[in-house]
Amino acid sequence: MKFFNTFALIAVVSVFSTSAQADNNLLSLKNLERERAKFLHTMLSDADSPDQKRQQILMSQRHLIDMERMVIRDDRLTKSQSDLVKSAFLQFDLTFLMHSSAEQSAQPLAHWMKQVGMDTQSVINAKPGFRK
Amino acid sequence: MQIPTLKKSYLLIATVLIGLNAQANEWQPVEVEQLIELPVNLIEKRIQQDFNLSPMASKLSHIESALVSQGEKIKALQAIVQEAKDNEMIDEKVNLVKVKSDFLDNMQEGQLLRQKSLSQKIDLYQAVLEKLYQQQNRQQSSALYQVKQQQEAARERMEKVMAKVDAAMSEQGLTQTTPYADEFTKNLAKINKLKEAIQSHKANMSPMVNGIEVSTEEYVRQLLMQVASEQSLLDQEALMLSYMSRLVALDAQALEYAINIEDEDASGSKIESTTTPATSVSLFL
Repeated sequence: MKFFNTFALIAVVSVFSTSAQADNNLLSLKNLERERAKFLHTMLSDADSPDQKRQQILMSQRHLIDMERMVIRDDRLTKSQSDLVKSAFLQFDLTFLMHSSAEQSAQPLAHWMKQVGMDTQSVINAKPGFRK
Repeated sequence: MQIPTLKKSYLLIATVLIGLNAQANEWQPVEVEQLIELPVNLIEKRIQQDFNLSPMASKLSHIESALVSQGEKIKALQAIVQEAKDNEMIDEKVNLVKVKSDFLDNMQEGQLLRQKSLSQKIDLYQAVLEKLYQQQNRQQSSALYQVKQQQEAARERMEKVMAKVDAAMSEQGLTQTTPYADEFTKNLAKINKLKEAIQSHKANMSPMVNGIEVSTEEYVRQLLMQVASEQSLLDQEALMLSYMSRLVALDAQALEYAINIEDEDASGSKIESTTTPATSVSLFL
């Protein structure tokens, strides 16, 4: 009985370690996703002063550039079959926002909005309220 | 039916001997699984090494040395009978035909062994090629391979704009590079040097055909073509061998004819047709 308990414990530990390893494979991509979310939030937010906002955006851009390069060079990602990885490479323009916007000679925010299907007119026409 | 113990032993020994005899000239090529694990440059050498150690190769070597000594014997006999007339040195001539016949028998045996070894090599290369294709297809159809391809495509696209991104950051006053970028650039130079060393390492050399680097499949295909061309030349040699056999048969026929003529001359058995009606008329007058 004790033997079976030990065996079950080893099995559980190995399942967790495999899952933790799979999670670690996606670390660079997840960091990039978080940093991009923060960047977009800063861009769209008006909570900070213009100077503070500018400083934060510059710092975030610098981080994003590094992180995008880390992701593109990260061979651990190609060992994962996660949908996150598949869609990250399929949607190059969204995932690698800094580089794709420079490629299109566009501002990062404008490029992101274009990619998600928003333009100035649609923003102006937007009304606050519940989604119908 | 009970077989006595002694008879059983004889049967066993006979079976073992037959088995040994059958294996005496055989070649059991190395397993395909072992071959595809090797660097492609070594596949051909491994097969040749394996063949060289086989009973078939040692049999071929024996045949080759027998052919050399028989060839010398033929030359010596030819030198002796060269000046002889048709009905002279019959024994030497018979001996010459016999040695030529033995020579051709050996040559034919060698030819058959070589044909067999070449068809085994062809089977082996085809099996290797098949395995390589299977591996490649399995790899290319896997989801991980697709992701890797997508990452490579994305990397190529990004590398084209990296300089532009850095320039844009400099324009915004961010001239100082990040620790990651600094370290990466330093390491990249070292990595490139290591890569160059690996690429130029003789154990990692890509297979070459006529001085051109080729893929593994291409290299094995070339080996297969090479063996097929050897087989074709061997077929041509078999034709030569058949013509040589025909010539020896004609020599033997001519010799037999010459011996018969000589025998007839010696025994005087030839019927002289001097008694004709014209010469016999006087007997009746």
